[in-house]
Amino acid sequence: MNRLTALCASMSLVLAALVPSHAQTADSAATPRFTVGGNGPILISAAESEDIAQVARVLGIALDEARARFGGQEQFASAIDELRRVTPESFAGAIWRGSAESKPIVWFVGRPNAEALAILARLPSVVLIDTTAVAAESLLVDAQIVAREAIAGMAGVVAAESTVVPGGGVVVGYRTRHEVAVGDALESAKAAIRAKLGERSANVRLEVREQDVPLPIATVIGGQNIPALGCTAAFTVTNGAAKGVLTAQHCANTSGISYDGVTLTYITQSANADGDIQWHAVGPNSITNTFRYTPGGGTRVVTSTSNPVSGSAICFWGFGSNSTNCGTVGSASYCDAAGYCHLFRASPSVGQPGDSGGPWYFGNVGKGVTRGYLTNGLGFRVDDLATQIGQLGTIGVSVKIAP
Amino acid sequence: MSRAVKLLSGGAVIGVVLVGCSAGPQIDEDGRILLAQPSASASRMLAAVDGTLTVLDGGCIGLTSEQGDRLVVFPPGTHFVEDGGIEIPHAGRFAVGDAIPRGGGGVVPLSASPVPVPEVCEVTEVTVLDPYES
Repeated sequence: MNRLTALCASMSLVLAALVPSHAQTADSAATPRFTVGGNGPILISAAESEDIAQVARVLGIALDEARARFGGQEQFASAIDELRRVTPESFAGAIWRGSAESKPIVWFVGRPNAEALAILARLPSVVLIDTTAVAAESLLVDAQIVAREAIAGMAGVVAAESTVVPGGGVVVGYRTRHEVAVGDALESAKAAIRAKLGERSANVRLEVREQDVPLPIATVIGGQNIPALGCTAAFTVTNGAAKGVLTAQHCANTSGISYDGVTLTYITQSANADGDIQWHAVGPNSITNTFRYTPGGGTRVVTSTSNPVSGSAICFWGFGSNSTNCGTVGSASYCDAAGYCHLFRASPSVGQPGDSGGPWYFGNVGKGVTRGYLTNGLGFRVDDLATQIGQLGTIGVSVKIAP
Repeated sequence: MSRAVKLLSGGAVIGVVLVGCSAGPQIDEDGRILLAQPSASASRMLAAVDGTLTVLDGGCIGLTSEQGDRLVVFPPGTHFVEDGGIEIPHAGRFAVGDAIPRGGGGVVPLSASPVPVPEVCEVTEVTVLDPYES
């Protein structure tokens, strides 16, 4: 019991004889809804007064109205926590309503026991008791957890959330990458609840709907597949506070595509004489200065960048070749026949469809972004082609080189 | 703009079969339009291009895949064949609905398309499918 609750309890004991008691309406034993409480003064601390004044300004209501609406809410909240402890099998939820027209509500499965009624009777606010709930809050919370987990684990579901509805319900919303029928999701959630709660699951009212559930915040790395573009991402990049991933300009500049569980938004690109690069923002998700470079998912940290030098060793990774490929740099500054410049050439030429946009590196140094390969007059491969990392300035980003 | 493209833009019924022509848009007897590069670029892109052969708005031949519907400029030498499909050098013959092998290429704006794109295709960019390696 916190200090405020203790004070409230002692105050109500003192005042019990002075204030007309609304501890329980006369017909409460026979009706599913009845009121209790209304005993003792509403206690509002100085700190709460300050907060209520702020809330009044935000809501655009008079201070007196705000004090009437929110005064006593913490005494109520403490009582609710106490109910959760002493009557977990019957307490089914609560809503604070402090206006003159509506009373705070507490739901129970059946008639609350004497201890629960005594807790509520001590409150200064008159509380409406509703005994028609079909499932206790503790049961609903268990159902809420397993139902969400079951749907979130279905193939094609990228995010799911769940909400307890006081009185007996659970609502699960989910978002899909591929279509997942509501009926299938509902059956999955029902099975999970049955497995967890057994016969008690019959009391849980379950609603499942497809909706725009916010995707969870993820930490994005470079070097992952971008299936909707048929390309590989290079490094993670920043532009001020904006975060994103780098790839090749000739990969489509479509927005709203999926990358490693997050949604990308196309920002800008450089083409032709400025190279072959573009970047996509990752929204609210975070990025880290690592990139994938092996088929097995191995990652490496990038701590600096420099343009390739002719004759030096260099490596690249891409989902087309699905391998880590190393060789040496030929020309360090090259314009191809299509008019793309600020490229470099490297051999042997082993790039495959799907490698575009992938990272070129050596050690922990970022070097470039895959464009393609060069052929000779007979159509045979000569060198692989990539854009120099120094061209990132043309699209206003820098490689993320610190965690 | 080639004669065939002018005809198509004008809304005329096309009765000309340009099978085997690879210098500009090719049009078969059903009015379907096939775009192929007039010659191979020495520089090849490596975005993955795959999907099933489809007829897009305006009768333009393209691909349907996870990347959506897109108008494709096929490798040099690609042409209509008698059974209504197309033949792509070093890849094979394909009918509408067939999956083509994954190749390399990239998306370019109309201004950079290696072949004029008829207005009836109603696109702002094309996917260039570079030659398959022999």
